[in-house]
Amino acid sequence: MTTSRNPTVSLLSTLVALALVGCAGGPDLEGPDLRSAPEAVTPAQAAEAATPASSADAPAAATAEPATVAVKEWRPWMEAQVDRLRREQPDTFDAVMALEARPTRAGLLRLTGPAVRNPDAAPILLYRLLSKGESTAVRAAIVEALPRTGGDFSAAAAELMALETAPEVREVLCAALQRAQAPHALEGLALGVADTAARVRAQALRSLGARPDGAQLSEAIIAALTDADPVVQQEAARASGNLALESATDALRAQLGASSPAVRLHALRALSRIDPAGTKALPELTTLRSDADPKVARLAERLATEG
Amino acid sequence: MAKLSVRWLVMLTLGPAVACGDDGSEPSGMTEGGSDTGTPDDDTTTAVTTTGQTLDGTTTDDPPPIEWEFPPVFGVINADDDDANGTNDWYQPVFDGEDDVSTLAIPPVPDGYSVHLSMVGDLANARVWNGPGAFALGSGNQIVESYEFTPSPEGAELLVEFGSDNVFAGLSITLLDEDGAEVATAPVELRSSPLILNHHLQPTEHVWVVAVNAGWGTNADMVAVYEDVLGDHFTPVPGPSYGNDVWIQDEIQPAYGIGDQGQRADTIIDSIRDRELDPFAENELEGPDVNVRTWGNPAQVTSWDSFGNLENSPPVTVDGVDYPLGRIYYGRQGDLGIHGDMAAQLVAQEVQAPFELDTLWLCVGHVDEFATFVPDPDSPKGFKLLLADVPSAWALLESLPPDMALPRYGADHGYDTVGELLVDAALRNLNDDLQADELDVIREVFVTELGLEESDIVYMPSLFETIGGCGGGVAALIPGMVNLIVSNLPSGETHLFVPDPYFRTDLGDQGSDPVIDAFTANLPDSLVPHYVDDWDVYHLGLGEVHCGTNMTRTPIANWWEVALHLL
Repeated sequence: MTTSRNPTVSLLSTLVALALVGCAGGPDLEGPDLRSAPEAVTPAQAAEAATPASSADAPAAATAEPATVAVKEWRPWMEAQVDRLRREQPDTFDAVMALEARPTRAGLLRLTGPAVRNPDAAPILLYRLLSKGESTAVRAAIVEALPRTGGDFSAAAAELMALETAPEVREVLCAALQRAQAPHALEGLALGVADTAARVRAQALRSLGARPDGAQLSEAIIAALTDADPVVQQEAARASGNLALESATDALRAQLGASSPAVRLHALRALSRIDPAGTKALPELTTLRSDADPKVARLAERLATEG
Repeated sequence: MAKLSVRWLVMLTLGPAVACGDDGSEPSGMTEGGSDTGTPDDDTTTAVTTTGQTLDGTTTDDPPPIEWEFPPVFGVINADDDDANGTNDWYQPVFDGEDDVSTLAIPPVPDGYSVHLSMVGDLANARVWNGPGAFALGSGNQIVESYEFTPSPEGAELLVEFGSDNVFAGLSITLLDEDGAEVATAPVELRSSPLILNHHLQPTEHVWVVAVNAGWGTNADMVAVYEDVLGDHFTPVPGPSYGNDVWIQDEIQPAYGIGDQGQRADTIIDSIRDRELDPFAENELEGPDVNVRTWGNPAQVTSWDSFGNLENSPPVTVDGVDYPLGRIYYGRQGDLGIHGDMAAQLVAQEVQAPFELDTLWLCVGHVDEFATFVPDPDSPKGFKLLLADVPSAWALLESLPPDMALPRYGADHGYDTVGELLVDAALRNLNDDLQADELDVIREVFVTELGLEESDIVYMPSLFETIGGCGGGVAALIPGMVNLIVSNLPSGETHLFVPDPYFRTDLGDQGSDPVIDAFTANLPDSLVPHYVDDWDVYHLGLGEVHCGTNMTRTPIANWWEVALHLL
């Protein structure tokens, strides 16, 4: 792991530790609904916010100090932007608020169209996310659209990782954080890697592996190589390879014998990206060349025989 | 074997009958594709008289011979509702105007003679009428295996009806004299057409696109291009009538059956997908000679059950076996993929021998996301396989200025320039891995299952990205240009409708688009491509032009002549 005295990294380490603690003893998946978030922006939400969230429903990350999550005052910014847009661009505001989440070919909902390709759409979407009581699928669609606005959503997405109740939405938050700005992106992804839902952890690892600064969470990535879920292991291996984490070598090598073919495949591929020459010399390669999974066998064969 | 008719000439005179070769007790000669029946071949005519004399040397006083021969019957399923009474025609007696039955003429027989019919095979799905309303044998209130009748002096016209696709039954027609002794018998092969899917070399009949103009996008430009090029062959479907469900490729799969007496029975396979377009087939397409059918359990639906995940190749020859109707392919691996009931139905048709591809790596999971076929009259096989290809995309991008701005990709995909795509190590790794793990394997399967050579394949620049919320599944980053529509018009022109990749700085200038240039350069010269705007409505919805279009094509009319060897 990259060591640093950067306070952001220290904060991230703290978050990861807190989140992991929460994971270990925490409840499964669900947490307080956004409508009970302490900074609700409508009277109705403020009233709802007066009702404390059940601790039994709290997500792992929510056990961290809320104050440490919010590293930027994005809510006042969002409210100011919404006030401005309501006055100056009411058509834009109304269009984004009313924009229909349409089904993609895969069945997921998405917000598309020119109204989304507008930085001003970001605060409106955040406002909509908090104020309209949308369904889980629509909340996921709103979050998915945030990066496509080109506007500022980074701090909000990071904080929402601690507040969002639905793993489906937290998964998409992790995907959005791939395109978010540091340090918020890593703060949110640190929560994602420690999430109680495997699908969220897996997506957090995908996003980390796609970020040039993802190696700042290398310890969490390497730890995820032994996650209970094979998809998470697989994504941890992939991230390790993308980020060329030399410190992951031993853990990756151990996963060459994993029961999941996808884990073996991505572990071997990650090793080849971290240390091509060393991987070619691995004794395990002999066995993997005749692996029962054709993809693993083909990769091992190529690594063993190509120059 | 192209034909299994057994030609018997029977000279009918007074006197005792003699053995005629086949005893009529079994419909021998009805085995699939065989001719080792112990009966004469097509070109062998045996003339038999009741005195045992052959026709050779008969006198002119002899009565004219009755030709006791019957051609095979190649009919179609009768599952439509020609009389529009709300009842599937299979479940009601044959009526005037019914055009999905086949006729089988029985010649006049001498007074006192009768005809005995017996049938074996799939009797639950075959039925013979002795004229309208006179059920004879096969599937009735119960299964009837034999029937005897006396034709009118003019002879008789049997009606053969089928209740399913690719049905085989063997009918034995025996002539009996006044004493009930067998005079002659002839086997008749009864077959219903397999349910056949179209391929991209067949002529376009009609094209549909769901026209939408919503806040989330409009396809008005794409619709306008279709209208301009296809004219009367095109109909836009009003989006609001179907909840703006634009994925019309996924909802229905046109298929057909053809009979050798001019019957055409279209089937619209209605997917268990059942989104807002679900009633489209019933509302707009169902009618006389068009029936709507579904295979699979809607409660078990997955994205793989959409019909972008069900395609058919052009005609191929594989290891010496001709597949003149092409071969079907769909995404399925183990138990994951297109519904097992749908797959089983397609396999059971035999003539298009389906094969499977791995589409589990895709968010949507359809075969049309990475491959298609286009006509190429100048090539030996008459077509080219267009295959999504990552290395050619990298090569193309590396030939471009890194600072080339990509305004369409900045907001929607996070890449403002060509250089940003090229330096994204994770994106490169992802795509290189997909090429090695998935696309190379898919290419091998195509080559093996379709008997392709390298020269039959065109590699089209393609990049994919991971889709958030899709469990690591990927979809096209550069619009998936192989997800295109092939339309062969009566003019002889073949038009392609291809997603505009918008891989350029000046969005209004397709001529400056290097991806369009590369794509066009790779196409066979005879094709006319139209690069249409599908960005908001389709591309950002994880589909492309093909996903948003559906088409009927003119059937291949002679499956029994060209594909019987596959049954």
